[in-house]
Formats: sequence, C-alpha cells, structure tokens
Amino acid sequence: MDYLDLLIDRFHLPLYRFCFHLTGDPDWASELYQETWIRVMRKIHKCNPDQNFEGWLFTLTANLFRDLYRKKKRLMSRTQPINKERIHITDPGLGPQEQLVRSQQNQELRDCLQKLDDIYRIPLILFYFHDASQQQIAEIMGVPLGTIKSRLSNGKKRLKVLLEVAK
Amino acid sequence: MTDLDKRLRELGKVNVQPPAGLAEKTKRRIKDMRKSPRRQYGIVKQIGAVAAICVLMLAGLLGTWAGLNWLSGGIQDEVVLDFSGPVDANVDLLEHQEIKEVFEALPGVELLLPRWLPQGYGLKNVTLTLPPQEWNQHYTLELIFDGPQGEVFFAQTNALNKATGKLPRYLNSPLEVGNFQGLYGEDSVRTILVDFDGVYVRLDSEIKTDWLMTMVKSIGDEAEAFIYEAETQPIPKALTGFIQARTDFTLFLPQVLPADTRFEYIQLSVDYLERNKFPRYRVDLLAKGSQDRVYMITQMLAKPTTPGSWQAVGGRETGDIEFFYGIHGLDMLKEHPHYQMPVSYQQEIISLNGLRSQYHVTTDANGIELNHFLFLLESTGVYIGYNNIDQHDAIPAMRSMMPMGAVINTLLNSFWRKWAELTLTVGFFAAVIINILLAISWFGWQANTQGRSRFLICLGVAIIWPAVLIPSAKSILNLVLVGEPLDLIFGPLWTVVWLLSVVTFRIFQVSIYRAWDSVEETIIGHISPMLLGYFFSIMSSLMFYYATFKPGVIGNWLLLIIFITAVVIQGIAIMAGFLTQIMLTRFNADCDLRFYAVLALTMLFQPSFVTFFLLSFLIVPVAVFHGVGIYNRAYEPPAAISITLLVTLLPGIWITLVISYFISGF
Repeated sequence: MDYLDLLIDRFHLPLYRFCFHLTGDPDWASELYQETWIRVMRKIHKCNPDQNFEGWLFTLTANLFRDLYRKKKRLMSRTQPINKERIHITDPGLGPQEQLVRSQQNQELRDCLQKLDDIYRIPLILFYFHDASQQQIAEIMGVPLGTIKSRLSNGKKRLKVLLEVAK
Repeated sequence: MTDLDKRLRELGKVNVQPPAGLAEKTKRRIKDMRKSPRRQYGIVKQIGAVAAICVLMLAGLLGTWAGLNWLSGGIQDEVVLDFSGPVDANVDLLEHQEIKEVFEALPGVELLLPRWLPQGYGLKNVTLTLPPQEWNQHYTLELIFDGPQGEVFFAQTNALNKATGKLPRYLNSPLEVGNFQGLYGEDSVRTILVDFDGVYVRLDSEIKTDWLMTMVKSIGDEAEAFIYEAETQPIPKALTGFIQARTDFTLFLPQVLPADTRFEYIQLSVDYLERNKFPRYRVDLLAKGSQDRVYMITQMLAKPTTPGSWQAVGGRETGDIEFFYGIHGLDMLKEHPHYQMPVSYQQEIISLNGLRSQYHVTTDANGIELNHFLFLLESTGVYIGYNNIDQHDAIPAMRSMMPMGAVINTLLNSFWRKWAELTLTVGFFAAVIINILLAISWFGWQANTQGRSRFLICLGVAIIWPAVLIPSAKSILNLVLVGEPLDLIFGPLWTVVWLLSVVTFRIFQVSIYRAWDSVEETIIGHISPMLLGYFFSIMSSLMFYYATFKPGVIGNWLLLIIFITAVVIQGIAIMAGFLTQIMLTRFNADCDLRFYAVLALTMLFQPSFVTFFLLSFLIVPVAVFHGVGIYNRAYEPPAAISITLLVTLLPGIWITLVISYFISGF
C-alpha cells in the first residue's frame, strides 16, 4: 500500500470534517478534500518529519481553501445556493423532536459561523471542532499565539452578535 | 464555559459523515495523476513543446503570408492600371464622333487629349462649352472616361487672346500654319484638370508671349515642332544634364533661347522648412540678352526622405555655368528613388519686357499616386486639329521622372497599405478571437486542464506571431532593397522584443507552474493576457512615438509628455500594486519566498492594465493628428505598422483584460 493511501486512511475523517466546516457544503467539502490530498502528493517532500502532520495538513487545507475556493465560492454564490438539504448530520442520543430543535439551532449557529471572516472562523473551527490548542492553531495559521488568542476572543464576540441578530 | 462555548463544543461533536467512497475515489484520482505525464517537465517534452510551437508559428506565418499575397495580388490587379499602350480601341479619340464634333467646333485648336487609357476604359461623355461670342478664344472641354476603377474626369480650358499679330511658325507641318493664324497671340491660358478617384491633378499653363510659348513648348521635347522665327540657340546639354544629375528630377528647361541670349546665373537649392512638409527644390536661372533679361524659376515639392537627414542646402555660381557640388540633401534624395514623385511642379519664366509663362502642376493630396500621375502624363498627348502629332511620345521628358524604382516602390507601398488595411479588418477579429482563446485558456487552468490550455496558448502565439514577423521581414527586406535606416532599428528591435516577450512568457509559465500551485492559476491567468498587453502597449506606443516624433511640433511634444507620464504612472502603479498585494496576502500562511517573488512579478504586469488604458485613451487623439496623415502616406511603414498594431490589437487585448478581471474577480 502506498504511503499516501495510509495517510488518507488515517486522516480521512478529520480532514473531511475540517473541509466540511470550512466550506459548509458537502459537495465543496468533498472537492476541497480531494484537492488537499492532491496537494499533499505534490508537497509531501516539504513536510518536516518533526512537524505534526495533521497540523501541516490543515495548514495546506486552509491555504487551499483561501486561495482557490474563496473565489469560487464568490462566483458560485451568485448562481446557486448552498445545498443545505444534503447535509447529513445525526445525533443518536436525542429523540426526534429534540433532534429537530437541535438541528435547527445547529444550523443557525453554522450559518452564523459561515458569515464570519476566515481569520476568525478558522481558529474557532480548529479550537472547538477539532480540539486544537491555541499554539497548534497559531502554527497552522502561521501567526503568533497572541494573535490567535485575540482572534478567538473577537471571533466569539462577533459570532454572538450574529446570533443575536439572527434571532 | 459560556453558553456559546458549550454550543460550539456540541456542534463540533455532531457526527459529520463523509460521502461513501470519497477516500477510494481520492486514491484513484491521485494514482491517475501520478500516471499522467502532464506534470512532468522532461527536457524532451520541453523540446517537443517548443518544436510544436515553432511548427504552428511557421504554419501560421506561411498561411498568413500566402493569404496576404493572394489578397494583395487581387488588390493590385485592380489598382495598378495598365499603361502598356493604346490597346483599347476607344482610346483613339479622334475616331470618336463627339470628339470630331469638338474639332469641328474648334478648327485648328490645340487640344490635349488622352492618347492612352488604362485597360477597360472608354470615353463616356464629352461636353464642350463655348462662349457665344468668343468661341475661338475661350472654351472648356470636359471628358468623362468610364472604366473598372470608376470615372475619370478630364477637363481643359483654354483662353486665347489674339491681340497681337506676331505668330509662331510651325515649320514641320505647313498644313497647320494657317490654323494658328488668328488663334495664338500674346496670351494663352490653359488649365487641364484630371480627377481620378478623388485625387485631382491640375495643370496650369499660362503663356504671354509667342516666343516664350516656344520655350514652354520645348518642354516635353516638342521644341522641334516650334521654332521661333527669330534666331535661336540651343541650351547647352551640359546644363540640363548637370541639373538632372544632381536632382534626379527632370527640371524642364527651355531647349532653345533667342540667339543673343546667354545664361548668366543658375542656382539649385533645397529648402526643407518642416520635417513634416515636403522639401522644395528650386532652380533659379537667369538668361541675359541684348534687349531683355529672362528669369526662369522652377520649383518642385517632393516627398521627404528619411527624417533627420535634411538640411537647407544651396549652391550659387555666377559667370560660367558651374555648380557647387556638395549638396547633401540632393545626394540623399538620389539614394531614395521612390521619393521622387513630385507633389507639385511649377515653372515660371519671366521676362523683363513683361513676357511671362507659367507651367504649374499640382495635386490635392500629400503626394500624388503614381498611377494617377502616369495616367495624366503618359496619356496626354497633343492633338492639333485632325492631324495629331502622336508620332512622338507625349511627354517623354516627364516620363523619365518615373524610374522603375518608383513604380516598384509604389507597388510595395500599395501592398503595405493594403496589408495595413487587411490587418485593420481581419486582424481585429483575429485579435479578438486570439484573446478570447487566451481567456478560455485561463478557464482551462482554473479547471486544471493544463494540456488544453497549453495548446490554446500555442495556438494563440502561432496566430499572433505572423503579424509580428511579417513587419520584421518587411523591415529587413526594406533595409536590403531600399536601405531604410529606420528599418535598421525597427526590424531587429521588433523581432528581438517579441522573441523576448514570448520566451519570457514561456519561462514564467513553466517556472510559475512549478513554483507554487496555489497561485499558479491566478498568476498565469493574469499574466497570459497582461504580459502580451504589456508588450503590445509599450512597444506599440514606443514605436508610434518614435515614428511620429518630430522636434518642434507641439503635438509631438504632447506625445512625448504623454508617453513619459504613462511610464511614470506605470512605475508608481507597479510599486503601489506590489505593496497592496503584499498587504493583502500577508495573512496567507504559505509564506514561501517564491510566493512573494511570483506575486511581485504578477504585480509587475498587472498595472500594465492601467498604463494600457491610459496610453490607449490618450494616444488616440494624438494619433488622429499625426497618425492619420502618416497612415495615408503608406511609404512610412514603421508608423503605419505601429498604428495598425495599435488600432488592431487594442480592442482584443482590452476584451481579454476585461474578461479576465471580471472572471477572476481580482
């Protein structure tokens, strides 16, 4: 088995989750996911063995998302809405009614999160959804730790405002 | 932990399931890409790509060249008239019934009628206007010839005054002597007007004395026909040969003078007042007799030769007829035979006794078309009465003004003008298509279909290159055949610049592609049109500026100011664009040095849009002032070509830039 196949198997789920949270759309997430692995194939020689591979992978993903999909998203948003109906999210611990309410709340939070700027959104996604430490986020984003702390704080404030406006 | 923290944590725990088979699909795709040769840049493949480009370029070049030849051949067949001889039966105007009626109405009157006509031309209409009371003194004859190139209007007026009774004798044709009696006297004014395709030639002749008429009639080797009854002497052949050798123009000199007259003074000079104007050649000649002094002033305006080489020159010698040899301007002129077409020719002979003769040929254009001039000169024979004297050539001396070099160059100029017109029409659409292809190739990069994009780029280059190489080839040919010093600069410069631009483009394309994937599509997408636009704009404007710049003319200084301003603005825009882009992208985590290097190079070309826009808008008014005149005078190829390129390629590049900007959302 190829080393890349092993990496894909190992980081399949976390990478897709990250892609999904970044894009907010399953189709785009799949595309970003594939493009990220293609980039990994080309840039794997640049990966420092001492470096955390997952962090490097997320760095690559975030950059690719910014460089490529931001523009595409801008174009696409003029022509077609995000396909929310196809988002498959389940929480087996809840009943049907609670699951519906929870689903609505989550969708509301996800919508507001999507409205945030990338500089706030990505740290929040990494911190809350992927349990990354602030130091790891700083390395992934390529900015100082203090900046990440500030962005996390400001990101939450902005998110709160957006949620209040949404209500 | 706040409520928002809790909600975010809960949202993160939501199970997000990837689509089934995504991992396997990704693995397959990666394997396919590894097998694909598109990402490999082996030296063999590079050579193959270059060879393919060369083949495409060659095919495009040959195809375009063949097409132009075919088209220009067709055009030349239409434009160049056949003056090979009186092949058309209709040319024998004396057999024409209406012409016979004219001669019946004007017995013995000397008429100038075309002897030869271009192929396919025939007399369409004849109108003779006679004043009721002075029918034999003043008439207007209008002839209209119809043919493939449209109508030719030929008119002549003649005013005679028979106040004096001193008549010339027509020795060689005694039959005609009687016809002159009572018709020719002291004054005779003749105007001939030929209007051909909007260009007219006017020939004014005014004769105030009979013996001066003799001098005038000697113009065109007709001296043998008229000999003044007084004693005459021939003008020394050395003099006529001397002047002709120094001007390459046939300056029409009297061939006989009254016997007691001798030349005292001659001056040959060239005035070049403005570089945009025609230099004026002038011969001042003084003949002195026992009873009279005769001045003869002959002036001729000719097309300018190479700008920058003119200076006012002149020579003067009294006493013996010798002349100053060091006439720089005239020597220059001799080396440029295709500049010999006179714009106007004027000769005036003045006698202190009040006798005067004028002979004046003018045109309404900045230089008359050779075929128009030939039409007039070669086809206007002298008919007198019913017995025309067409055994001799009409005006052989003037015909000698048209050396074969002039004919060839006129054809060349005609060809290049047609080429310019062709590129203005076909080239415009071709440029639009090429640039649309480039824009599509940008799409190709966006879609990761590099192979197709590369093909489209090659195709675009292959189509563009002939338009670049043809002027270069023409310049080199011109340099060899005519010795145009300007083309010495423009030909190689043009070629080298384009070689550099395309090679640079290719280097950028490859190096950027390999450097950083995340920005390659953006950069190539911008560079592909902008690099071309940059060189087109700068080089076209530079050539345009250089070809049209003439010191001392306000418009040219305006052009210089615009050019410098544009360059300065471009520099500022480059710096501003670079800094802006750095600021915008400083948050990108991919802080690789190459990223910034590539980015800087991108910005280097991006502001060319601004410059291009500025140059295009500002140059147009100047082009109206300067370019139109130059374009019409197709014998200045660099200017014509640069203007053509400017006008032809501007819209296409604009379209590409606009498309690129809109699509990229940059």
